[in-house]
Amino acid sequence: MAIVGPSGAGKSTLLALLAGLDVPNQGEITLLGQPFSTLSEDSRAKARQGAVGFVFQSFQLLPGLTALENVMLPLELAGVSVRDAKAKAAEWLSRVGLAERLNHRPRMLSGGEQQRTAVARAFVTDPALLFADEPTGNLDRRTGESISDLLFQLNADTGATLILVTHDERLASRCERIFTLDEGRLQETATCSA
Amino acid sequence: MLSLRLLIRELRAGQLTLLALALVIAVAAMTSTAVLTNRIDRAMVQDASALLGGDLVIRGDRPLAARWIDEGRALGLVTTETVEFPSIVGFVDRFELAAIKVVTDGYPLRGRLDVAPARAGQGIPTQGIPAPGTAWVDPSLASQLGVDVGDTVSVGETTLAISGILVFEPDRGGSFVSLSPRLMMNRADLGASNLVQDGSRIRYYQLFAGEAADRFRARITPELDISQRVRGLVDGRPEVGSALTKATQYLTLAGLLTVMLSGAAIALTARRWAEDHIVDSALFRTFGRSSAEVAGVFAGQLLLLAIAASVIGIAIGYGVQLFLVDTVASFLSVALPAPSAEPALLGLATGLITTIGFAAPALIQLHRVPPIRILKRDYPMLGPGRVLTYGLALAGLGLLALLYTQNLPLTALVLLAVVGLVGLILLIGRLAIRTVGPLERLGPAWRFGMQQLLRDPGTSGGQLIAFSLTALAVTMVAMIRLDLVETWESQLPVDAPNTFALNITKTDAPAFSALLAELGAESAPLYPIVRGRLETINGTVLAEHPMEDEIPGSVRRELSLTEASVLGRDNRLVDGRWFTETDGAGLVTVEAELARELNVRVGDQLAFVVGPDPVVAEVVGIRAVQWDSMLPNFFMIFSPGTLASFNATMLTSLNFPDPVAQTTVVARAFPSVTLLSIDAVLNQVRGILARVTEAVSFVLWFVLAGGVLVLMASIQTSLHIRKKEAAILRSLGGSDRLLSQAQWAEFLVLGALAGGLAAAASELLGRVLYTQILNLEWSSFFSAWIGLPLISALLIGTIGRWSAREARQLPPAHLLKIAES
Repeated sequence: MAIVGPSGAGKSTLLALLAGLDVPNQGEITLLGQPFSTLSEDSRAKARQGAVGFVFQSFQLLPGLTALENVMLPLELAGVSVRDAKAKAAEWLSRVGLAERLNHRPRMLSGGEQQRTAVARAFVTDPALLFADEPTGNLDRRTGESISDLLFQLNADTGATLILVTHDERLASRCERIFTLDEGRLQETATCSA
Repeated sequence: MLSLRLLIRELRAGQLTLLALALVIAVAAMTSTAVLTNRIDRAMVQDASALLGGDLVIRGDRPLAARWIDEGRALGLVTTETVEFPSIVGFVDRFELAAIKVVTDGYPLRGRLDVAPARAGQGIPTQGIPAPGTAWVDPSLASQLGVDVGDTVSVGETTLAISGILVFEPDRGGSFVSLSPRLMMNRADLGASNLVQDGSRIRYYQLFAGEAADRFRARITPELDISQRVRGLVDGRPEVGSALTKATQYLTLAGLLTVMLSGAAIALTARRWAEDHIVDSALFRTFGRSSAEVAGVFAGQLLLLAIAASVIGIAIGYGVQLFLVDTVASFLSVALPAPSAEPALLGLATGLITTIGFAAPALIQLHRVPPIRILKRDYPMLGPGRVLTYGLALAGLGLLALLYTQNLPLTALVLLAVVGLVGLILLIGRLAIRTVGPLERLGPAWRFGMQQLLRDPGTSGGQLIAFSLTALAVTMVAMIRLDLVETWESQLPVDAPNTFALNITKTDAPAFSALLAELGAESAPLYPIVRGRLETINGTVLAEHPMEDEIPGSVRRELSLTEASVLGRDNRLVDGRWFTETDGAGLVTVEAELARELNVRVGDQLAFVVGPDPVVAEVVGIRAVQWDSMLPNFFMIFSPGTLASFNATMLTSLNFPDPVAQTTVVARAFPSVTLLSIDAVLNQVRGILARVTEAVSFVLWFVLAGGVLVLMASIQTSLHIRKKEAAILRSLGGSDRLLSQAQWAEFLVLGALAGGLAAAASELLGRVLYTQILNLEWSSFFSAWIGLPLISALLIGTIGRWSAREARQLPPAHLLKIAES
């Protein structure tokens, strides 16, 4: 599912609300059967754990950690043992084509490689729901396309629900459903299939 | 443990280097100075016990009751007895009055005796006492009697064979004036000598040593009669004691300043660290961790870092003191106690307290990161308030200062000084920054440089404070070191006297002086000595004269009175005047400390009795005396002629270029003159002072390291924004040269301002430190007003430009990429 709209329309704010990173002033949001917006910050965090993944426009990799360590992080935070976390992270990095770059730090990776790492990190916890905020926004067209290929491929493989916010119409057109946010109104504008 | 793994990963990535370094330096400085002061303090106590021959001495006119000796032993104390009295010692047809000391096995309980195998021999540390039937004599008795090892002398009704020359006796006491030549004999021979009769002037000393000495003292003191006196540990030898005391104060101060500087570096780097981890914190929340869990991960990291850095710092601290203290120890007369574990605990406390005090605000900030920051970088965030930030730092510093000095008033003084100085520099610094505007006209580089300072007065003001305080701390520590070392050097110049000459008669005096001149021995004036007692002040007996405390010990007994026409070089008038040529007899100058205790002022009338005769004199001056100068010094010095009618012997101090040979020459020519060599003591003092100088010089490096860290940390905190600005400037066509010159201009001006502020602050802080804590004289250091801004501009210019080099050297595209992230 894609959310599109002009700059400043509030796409990212909507994404933050959906993911429980922020709370609405009015109304209620239910996520995975839970009344998200009435939960406390920490309870929302608990509910997200392992169920929700994120891919960000600016990748948000930790600069001090290697690619492998970055992907291990959500597993480690969830209490998975280092050995298992390492194995699983390595497996995911090889799925995104970075088997040779496990021990490189972000600044030694190209933009595309950094976003692949971020994608591996998003999928490593087997989330039911994946939020992506302009995942190709910081990449050139060709790299962007290879990232979106990867994203949709993995999405199909894992059966997770992908919600992405984008400016990129080509990217949006690959989603099953497209919603447009404009002047505070969200409307489903297209239904298509990838 | 996740915190540990993250910590290791960040350390490997070099993200924590500065923070870790700051912690290591704080802990190392604190530990090494604490170990040094701790060991020197304990050594001084031991040295003081050596001066008594034990930890506790009970003196009386008769032997101490056996039940007390038993009780002391029951408490685990070791004990021995010595007996002292004056008696005539004879050899063939010569007879001399000597101070006899009768010793029992075990003497001395503390310290050691040095005995030479012949008059010309070197003293050798000796365990044990003279065997029955033998005696040891000191060099002056040997020379007066003309005896050497192997001769037999008569003492009372017995004869004793000289088996050694007693060169050094630890508990002989510092008052050289009262010294008669010494003969030491075994207790077993006392009966045969038949010297102990009813009415003899005999003093019995029971010496005790052991851990329970203080407890025993408390028990026995109330039970003693009026003729018995207890002496415990007193301040050791003043000539070394005051140097060591000042050195330990200096070390304490330098340690605290290093911790303060490191604390500032920790606060700056921790803040930067927190800013770098805002995204991490938000990211962890999107992974499903609660804010408490996220805070726990970061707190765990910091705590582990603090512990690791403390362990390294403690190891460095102990390593440094091993080198420094053991060289000091070789000059003390006692073995230096092994380092205790206390400083290690203090080191660990330093690491933890500085981390908590200075880095806690950063943690609080990380704890409060809202998860939406991951999507919206400009989402407002609530950081910890200023009051909390500074309050925590100040509380941490106060706690450390208290742990370190164990002195509440000093701690309060330090904290007040910190608050006052920071406030003052903040105020003046902000004003000063506004005055750099006109420098913009010097060219484009200057314009960019000054704009950097003017654009955000908050940030540049913060840097200015950091730089000023660093310059201030380093200046103070360097200045005090200079003054201490200078004081110590002037205390014992190369030509310091190495011998005292006593009992010079008026008839011998001219020939004696002539011989000294012939031998090339420099000597102080000859001071006539008359023993007298102070009776009244302004006609009031001492007991009724108003004084702040009880009557000082020094005037309860007879004082050594003298007269002189020239003020000694180690004396300084603090009130009134010295004698003039027109002055007649009947005037006196009084030593300042005694004058204060006696509540005596210029113009008061003092009345003494010398034997049966009265001496009355008016106080015309008060003198401050440097007692540790090794020159003869007196509480009371009269105007010439006042003591003329009394039969006085004279004393002086002199410097023999070749002490061993020349002492023998003079002793042969003037057998009645007592020559007391202090060469050994002098060398010992010189050695200690040299080592202590090394120690204080070494500590200066810690302070410098702390200072450099603050500079680097404060520049690092602004590096991000610098890179961004450099990227924009470069992409707009700014040359490398322009960027470089702009950085020079900025840091030179910042350095000059910081130097100026530090010079002003050192005037205030220096006065307080010198006069209130170190008892040194403060003189305004005018060259600092010019030198400090210059040096500080150059240093800060260089270090600043070097630390900010990354913002110049990276290619613009790379910089822009960083700027966007």
